[in-house]
Amino acid sequence: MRNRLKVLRAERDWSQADLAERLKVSRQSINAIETGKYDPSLPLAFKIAELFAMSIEEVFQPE
Amino acid sequence: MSWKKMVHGLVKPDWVFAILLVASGTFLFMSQSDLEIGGGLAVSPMIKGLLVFGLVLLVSFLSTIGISLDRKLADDYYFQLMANGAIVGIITNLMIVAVFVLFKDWLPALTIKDIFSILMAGWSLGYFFYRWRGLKV
Repeated sequence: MRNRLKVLRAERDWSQADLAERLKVSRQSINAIETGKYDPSLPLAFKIAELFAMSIEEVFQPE
Repeated sequence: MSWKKMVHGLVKPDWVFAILLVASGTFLFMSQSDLEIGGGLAVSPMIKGLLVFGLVLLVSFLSTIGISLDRKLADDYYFQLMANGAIVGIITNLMIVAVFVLFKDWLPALTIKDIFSILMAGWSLGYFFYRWRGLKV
């Protein structure tokens, strides 16, 4: 799964820690998602999409 | 923030598994022990089987409840790391024990302490391998 998390975060000038705090997850989780080491669970993916006011498909795309 | 969330926030999985790995590695290299579990009561194999099966049923059920709670409170990423690491630990343990059983004439005996240490070390290493290589590999 590819994702646009890093770009979306940069557009808002948020650090990984900022985003982690907004999503109530660890900074390591954000780093792992951005570097493609981990695909988030469905509830977390929904949370991410909701935070960026987008659909899940706009944030995550199948490889 | 509830106290449960706060406690979970304080426990850093990387540190827990690093300590677990060092401790289990240390136990492996410590002097041998003839540790046996129980043995004070003589019962028939049927009674023993029922006792052990009952305990397995009860403990696995209670563990399921505990793990559900853990999943709810822990970070999803760390939970997946721990769960995948646990599978690595179990497989590692089974394989090593099987090798020692198959080649018992050429290898030293494993004690309960060794088997427990192998399980914990396998779990810790599995956790760190996934942490390093990612959960998608």
